[in-house]
Amino acid sequence: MGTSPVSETEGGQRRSVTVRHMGVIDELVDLLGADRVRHHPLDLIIFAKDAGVTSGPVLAAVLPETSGEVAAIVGIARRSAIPVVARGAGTGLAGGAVPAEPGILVVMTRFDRIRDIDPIARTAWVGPGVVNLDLSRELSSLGMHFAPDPSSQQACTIGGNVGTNAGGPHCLAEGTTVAHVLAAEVVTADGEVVVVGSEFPDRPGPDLRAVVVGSEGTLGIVTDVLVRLTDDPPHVATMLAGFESVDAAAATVSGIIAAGIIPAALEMMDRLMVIAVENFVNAGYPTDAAAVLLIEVAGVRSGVEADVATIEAITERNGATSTRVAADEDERAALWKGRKAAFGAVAQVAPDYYLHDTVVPRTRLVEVLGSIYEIASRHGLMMLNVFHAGDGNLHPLVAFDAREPGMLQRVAIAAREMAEASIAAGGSLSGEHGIGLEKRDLMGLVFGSLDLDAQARIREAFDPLGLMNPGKVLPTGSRCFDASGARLP
Amino acid sequence: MTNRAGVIAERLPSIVVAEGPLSDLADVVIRPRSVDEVREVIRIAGERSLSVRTVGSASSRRMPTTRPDVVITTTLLDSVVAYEPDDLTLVVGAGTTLGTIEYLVGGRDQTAVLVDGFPDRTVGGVVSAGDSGYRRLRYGPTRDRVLGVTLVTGYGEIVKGGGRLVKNVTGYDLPRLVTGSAGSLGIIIEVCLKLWPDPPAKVSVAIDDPTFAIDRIHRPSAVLETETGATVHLEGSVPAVDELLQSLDGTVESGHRWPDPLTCPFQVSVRVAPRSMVEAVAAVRAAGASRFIAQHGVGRVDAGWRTGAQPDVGGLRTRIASLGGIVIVTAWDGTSPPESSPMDRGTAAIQERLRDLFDPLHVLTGPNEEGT
Repeated sequence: MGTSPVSETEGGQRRSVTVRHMGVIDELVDLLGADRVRHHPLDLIIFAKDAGVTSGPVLAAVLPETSGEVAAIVGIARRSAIPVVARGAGTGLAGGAVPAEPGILVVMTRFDRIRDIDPIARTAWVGPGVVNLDLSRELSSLGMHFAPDPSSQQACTIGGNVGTNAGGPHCLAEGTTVAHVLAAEVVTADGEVVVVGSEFPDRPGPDLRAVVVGSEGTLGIVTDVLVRLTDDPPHVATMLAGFESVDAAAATVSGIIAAGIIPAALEMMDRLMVIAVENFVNAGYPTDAAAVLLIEVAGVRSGVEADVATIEAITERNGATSTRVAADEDERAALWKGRKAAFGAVAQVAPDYYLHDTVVPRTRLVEVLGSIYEIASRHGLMMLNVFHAGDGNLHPLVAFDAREPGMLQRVAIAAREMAEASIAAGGSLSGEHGIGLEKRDLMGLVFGSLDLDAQARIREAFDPLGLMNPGKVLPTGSRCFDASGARLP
Repeated sequence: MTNRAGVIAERLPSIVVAEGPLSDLADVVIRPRSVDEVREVIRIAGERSLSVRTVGSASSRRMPTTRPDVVITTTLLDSVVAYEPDDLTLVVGAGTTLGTIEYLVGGRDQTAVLVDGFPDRTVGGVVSAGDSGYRRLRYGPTRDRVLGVTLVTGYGEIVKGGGRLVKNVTGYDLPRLVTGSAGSLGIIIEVCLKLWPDPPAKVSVAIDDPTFAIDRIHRPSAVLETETGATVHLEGSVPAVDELLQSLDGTVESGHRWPDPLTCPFQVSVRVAPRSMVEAVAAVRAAGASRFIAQHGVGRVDAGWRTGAQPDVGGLRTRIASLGGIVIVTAWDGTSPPESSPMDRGTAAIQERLRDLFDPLHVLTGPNEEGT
């Protein structure tokens, strides 16, 4: 899908842009050496896209190893007025790491060190290139883990998690990445290496850390992360319940929350997804159910047992066709394998998929799901659903064949309608994937011009020149007032 | 009226506070009834170069450090806009008190997990100050519960950020950014809070070793130490709390209670990395604190001194700085506070631009104020 950046420009502009870019590549090679500056046409194609459906022009992909090198790269970019785009493993779905205009792709995977693990404070400094699951594996002997667990956790990096404010099934009880990042070292657009947040709590002043998390590299490039670690629970119970209707499953979700239980995870899958998963991993999911819930409760044993009994009563009250509690760790792992393999399982259904991410108030789940099924059906699209029901985070997955003429446009139109249906119910554009390129132009559905202007001010405070991953998160023209408050023409 | 701020009293006479304890805080004290009135005050202040500070119920005793031209009190912006118990969200005006919030959501066995022991404080004041309750060890700080916010910015516009959703990553996190910003970016008008089920069982248990409690007990709601001893606070379902209790040799107090709030004339807040808590407590004791409340696992010690027993703040600051922490003076005698630890210098350029972009005319903070 990627195209060479040079071939995209035309005529006289092409020559001048190319010459400027060539000079930049020379400077980057001087800084990092030829093996850490990738600009072969094949590299540029590989680095032009992420795991979603967008792609963009890469001038060169560079592999720094220190924050000093990142600062020097930003310095080169600033002098040449060329954007820099940070990238982790490239598993993002919204195009956050896909350049919107020809830029230097700063690949952070070599920042893969874990240091200063503090088992009392439950913190560690983690390089942004550390793979999410590797961090939790490293910590397992200490009885701790990193709570955000996106489906891509075997590949995605902590830096990418910070960039997108990533979530995952276990964010229902624990919150998304922002709740698990205490501080970050950031190379700013000024070329400075600064720390946002702190090892101590409640640093006075605006919480810069909180906007850097989820900023998709638009406020700076994160080079080190102080993460908060979470104790492994002493006891865990994982349950699977099948229902005759999506409504009954959703009523069960509401019933569990109303009973005062916030499960560790509360996931829903619809029938098509259950069939796809069951074909793929044989996890023992009931393929005759219209919807299944995967429910996990964690804590001390007697508390977990009490919660399981309460939840069993709620599933029964809502007419569950089957309810089972994983008897041992193997069965538990099999149930989770089904959930985590869901997106891979779709490969059997169609060659391509578009994975949406919207969020709605939990009480509006049934209504919005109904609209989403209607939208998919109206556009003749095959849709499967697996999502974080407990926090109203929907993931309609549209499976398609991109070779079919007009298909991508149909998918895009349906995706927009699904976003509109979510927002009409009081929802929003993203619960955990981020905005990136994919949803940038839909931001006006959620926010008014004054709200977007305020967000553009935040960005301007960090990056007055617009150097850091421009064209992401906010639509162009978001900044509608000048500094004195007068409306710009 | 002869003072500079008199123009506001002339244009908005019905919302001026003429009498009462707040009326001494500034030349003009305003009690707006709507967001539009707040915006109007800010716009007039911008035109006339007036300084404006916001207080809630003023019960935190944290007053502006320099006398402003105008004080806005948010106590009439106290409507409950939306309470969705099944979504665990609550939208309220900034002037709503913590007591009102807990009474409302307590009726559904829920809690906003804000600051304990100050029912008269307003939610806008707590969010603006970035204060959290003791249960943050388990539930996270207040800023993890501010899902949405409506502000009147220093440039006089009404701006919304976040939403009424428990999970949301749409755009920059304005709600968390302003939590703890002490009103330097805008006046908080309305907030959406994430609620939690309030567990049925709560106990406090006296213990000997807070570090042991942090290390070995599964997710206590708080581990506190005061001048009289240490307690671990447990909560959850009845069987869960029973099981946790059995693992402890401590003494169960009758039910559950938090330490009495500090109400000393001179108070500081010490903040260190949680691993340095033992040293921080020792430093506060050595500085002769009359009372203190240390939050183990969090990294915060709030300490107070009785009248006439003011500590050597400089010495304490040096000791805490050697631990990588900071000391903030939160209550003081007299007109100006002793110097707190220096603010974060690394991000000074970003903070300055942020303040200039949100408060270009320096209505909310003076040109040299830290905004804290």
